[in-house]
Amino acid sequence: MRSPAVKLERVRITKVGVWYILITLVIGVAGANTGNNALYLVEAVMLALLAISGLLSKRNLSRIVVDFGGAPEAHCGQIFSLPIVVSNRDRVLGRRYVTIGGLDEFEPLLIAFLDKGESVRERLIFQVKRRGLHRFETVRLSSVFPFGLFDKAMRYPVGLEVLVYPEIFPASGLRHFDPFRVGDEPSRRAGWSQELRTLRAFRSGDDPRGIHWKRSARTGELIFMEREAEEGLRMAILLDNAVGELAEPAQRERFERLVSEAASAAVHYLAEGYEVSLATRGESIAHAGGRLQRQRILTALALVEPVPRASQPLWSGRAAAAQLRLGWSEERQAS
Amino acid sequence: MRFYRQKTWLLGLLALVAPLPLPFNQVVGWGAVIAFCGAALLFLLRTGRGEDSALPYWVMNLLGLAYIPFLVGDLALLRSGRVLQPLVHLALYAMAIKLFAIRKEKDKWHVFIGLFFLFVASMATSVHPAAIFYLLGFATLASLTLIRFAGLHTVSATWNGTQERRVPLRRLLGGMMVASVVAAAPLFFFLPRLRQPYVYLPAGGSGGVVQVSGFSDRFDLGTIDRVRSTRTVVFRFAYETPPPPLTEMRFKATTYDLFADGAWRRERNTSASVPRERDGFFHLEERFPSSWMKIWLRQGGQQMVLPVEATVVDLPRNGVVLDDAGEARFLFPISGIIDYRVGMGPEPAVGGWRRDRSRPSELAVSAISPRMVDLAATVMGSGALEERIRRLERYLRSEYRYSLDSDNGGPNPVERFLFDTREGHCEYFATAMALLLRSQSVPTRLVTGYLGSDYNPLEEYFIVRQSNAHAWVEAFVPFDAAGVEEGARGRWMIFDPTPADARPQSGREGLLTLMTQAYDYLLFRWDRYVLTYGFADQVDVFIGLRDAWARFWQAVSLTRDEPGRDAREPIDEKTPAPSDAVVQEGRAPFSKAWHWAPLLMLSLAVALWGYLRRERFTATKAYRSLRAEAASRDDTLPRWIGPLRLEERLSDRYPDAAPETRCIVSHYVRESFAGEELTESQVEAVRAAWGSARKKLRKSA
Repeated sequence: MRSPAVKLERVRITKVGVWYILITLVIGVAGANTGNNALYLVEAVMLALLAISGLLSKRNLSRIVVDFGGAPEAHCGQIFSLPIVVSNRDRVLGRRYVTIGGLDEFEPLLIAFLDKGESVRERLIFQVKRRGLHRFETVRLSSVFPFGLFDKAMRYPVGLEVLVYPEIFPASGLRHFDPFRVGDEPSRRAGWSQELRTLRAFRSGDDPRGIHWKRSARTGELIFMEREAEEGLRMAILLDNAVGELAEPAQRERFERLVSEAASAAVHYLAEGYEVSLATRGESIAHAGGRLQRQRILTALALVEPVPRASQPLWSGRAAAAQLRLGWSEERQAS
Repeated sequence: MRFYRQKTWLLGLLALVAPLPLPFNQVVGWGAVIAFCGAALLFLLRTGRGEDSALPYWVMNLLGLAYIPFLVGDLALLRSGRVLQPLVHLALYAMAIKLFAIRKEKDKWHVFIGLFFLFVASMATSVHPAAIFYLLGFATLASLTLIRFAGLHTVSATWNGTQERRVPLRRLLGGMMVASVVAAAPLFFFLPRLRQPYVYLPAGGSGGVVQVSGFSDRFDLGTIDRVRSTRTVVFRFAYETPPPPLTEMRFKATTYDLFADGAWRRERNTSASVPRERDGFFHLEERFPSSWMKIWLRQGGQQMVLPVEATVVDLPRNGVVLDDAGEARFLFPISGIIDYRVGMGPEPAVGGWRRDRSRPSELAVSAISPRMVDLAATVMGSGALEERIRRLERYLRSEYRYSLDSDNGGPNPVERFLFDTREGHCEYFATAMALLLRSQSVPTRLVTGYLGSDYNPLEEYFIVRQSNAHAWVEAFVPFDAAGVEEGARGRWMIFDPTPADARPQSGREGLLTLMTQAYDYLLFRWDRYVLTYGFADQVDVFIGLRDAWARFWQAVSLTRDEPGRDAREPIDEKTPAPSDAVVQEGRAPFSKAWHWAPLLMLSLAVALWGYLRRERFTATKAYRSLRAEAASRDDTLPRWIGPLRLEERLSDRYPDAAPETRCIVSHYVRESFAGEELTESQVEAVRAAWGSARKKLRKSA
């Protein structure tokens, strides 16, 4: 990846820098006033070091490449680390005392030394307070190297998109959360369990290994043994996001709490082995289990937004499964 | 090592180095500096042991009170004009205590600034070239301290308890110092000079310029003895053309005509300013010079030194004042080093307004005893006056011994020299000859100056030191030689009665001499281009640069005209040299063309630099541009919108641009998220898509 050109965002003179410039001025005035060339020598060296400091500090921030690894599963309000690789593409000079940060969400990361052509793996610690899709256009690389006279910073374009899932509460922290088992009914779908579901005529495409040979011989037609699916526990989470416009921060907080409860429940039940579905106004995810389902539900909940109030109740479409209803009025209802 | 210890360790080292030149510069005594360095060493030992306890405030107060007696004693020095010593004493004492009273971060900075001002005091009072090593050493250590302070500040601000990675600084620091020297050299030479150069006079307190000529309006018989005891450089010179044959390298400084009480003095000032002629030179004689030399005189005042063969002086920014005895002075006082060119005739010439006449004061016969009259008459005998004078000169050279340790004290030291001790240095020889000639009614005057020099092959110049100081006699010889009368026309001639083997020597050889010459070369450069570098030198540098530029273009133009021939030279004897206008006109087309060449080269360099620095077009850049374009036309576009949503939104809003938008977004996702390197054709496709999308977006608006 090509290192971006240095576009300094900020050049601030530090307190040390102010003192340095003041003393340089004083020595310059003293030299000019007295004609003492030894003071001119000191002045020349101080000015030279000032110039070198300026050039070196700019160089120190250039030709640095920051590669972000895959975004981790980030939950709102929780601390996560983002793997990054910081490389120095300069073939002449190393980089010293570079700080990566500059965003409220990130904890500043110090790269104390990066040799020429070297790459280091680091982890950027961050915490996001709001769920949803977050885009971080830039991070800030800053440094006071070499003499601490200038604090220079540049914006480094990263274009990083992080989908932040709702906050997950521990199971014991959920309101009215008492895990129960409902809907432990047999599945009506065909599958590959040991239980026989039905016997029927063999159809083209059926697995020949499922032919019930004794019955076929008795009836003279090919009879196929249809087995039941192995699944059993199901939970439908119904989050009614028809809460209208949320003008007050308290209302917004309340809605976010509902979303977090839905996410916590989904994570909990999926971990317990349930097949979980999610239904919101405008989004419906069918029953399924596993990591992919967890990601699907959390993604949906990360992006769910309040919609105008509706008179019709939210219907999951599958009355047979156990349901966890979360809404403005009922907060949470289990049936 | 803990941050605190690292910082205090560096401060201790700085404290050890900062005051080192002060005793060499005679600003403070060795005792004060040794005591301070002892305190710094103790501080370093404590730091090494990890002790970081600070002095209590009450101890600091007590130590402050204890300094009051020393302060009172120091203040007495103020009366003698030595301002710097009490200040430096106070600074050393305060810094020594402050080192042991570091509590907070700001205390370290106070110490750093205090030590820096000790460094400035050391530098400002340094006149020796070794100061450059001190400057670089301190700058290196101070830079290292600043780097570590800044680094540790950054580390402590972001420290998460993990071990700090070692940060190598040695090579970086070396490179920085080299770069700072490279950058500081032109800065030093071009920083504006507003005043005459100031050179600190060791132990002088308030400073002043260096006075080295050694001669004044009054000249006693011990002056040269004192002057010659040092090897201080008075001036340097180099021949620009082959020197006159048989030249003695004799330089005239001052003339004296009255002798009384064992000392020579001048009767009155009969000097006048020499007008600058049309050729820009000051003509001391009517003869045209046959050879030229350049003199670099280290001086403070108006005294000028000229070779006895001098006829013309080329002095751009000053004037020449000449008295009737041929003593030359600068019109305006100078300080530091001044350089001027001198044109010389083929033989010695005693210049001055009254070069063919004498004056009564040059016949004053005080301090001449009858014995001296008899001696002169006996030795000189009869005959032509010049021959008689030569006899006396030879007599003194052969019958008397040169010695710097002679005891010629008493009411009449010359008589004692002539009849008792029969030994002395050049002043006795010259004074004796002058008085003996006067006893025979020959007008004479005593001349002081310099004879001989050391050749420095490193830059092919000659060094004249105080040890080359010499005295000789000028005697007036009438043209007819029949007798000397007031107003009679004649000429002044130089006679040197000092034995030849006792005159200042030159031409020593050997390794030590070579080292001395190398050292002098360094000193000369340091004196000339550092200590005494001033506004006039800056003007010279700019004039030199301007002339070099003009010469360069002239050379280029001439080369273009006809290689190997100067356009101003006549083609043959019958064809006159072309005028400036013709030359200018003839080469004008070439000159103009060549004047454009640097501009063209500069443009090409800028274009090449821009091409190499250009930012490569990428899908990410196209996507960002697309986002910016969309945001400029849609205020409701959220900042956090992702690429797929953006694509949907733009496709809905600008259906015509949907294919282009899809192309840009899909390539952006592949490049940015999948880390895929796009091929050139893909980049070109994205570029085309972006161009088309922009047109369509603008058209829709």
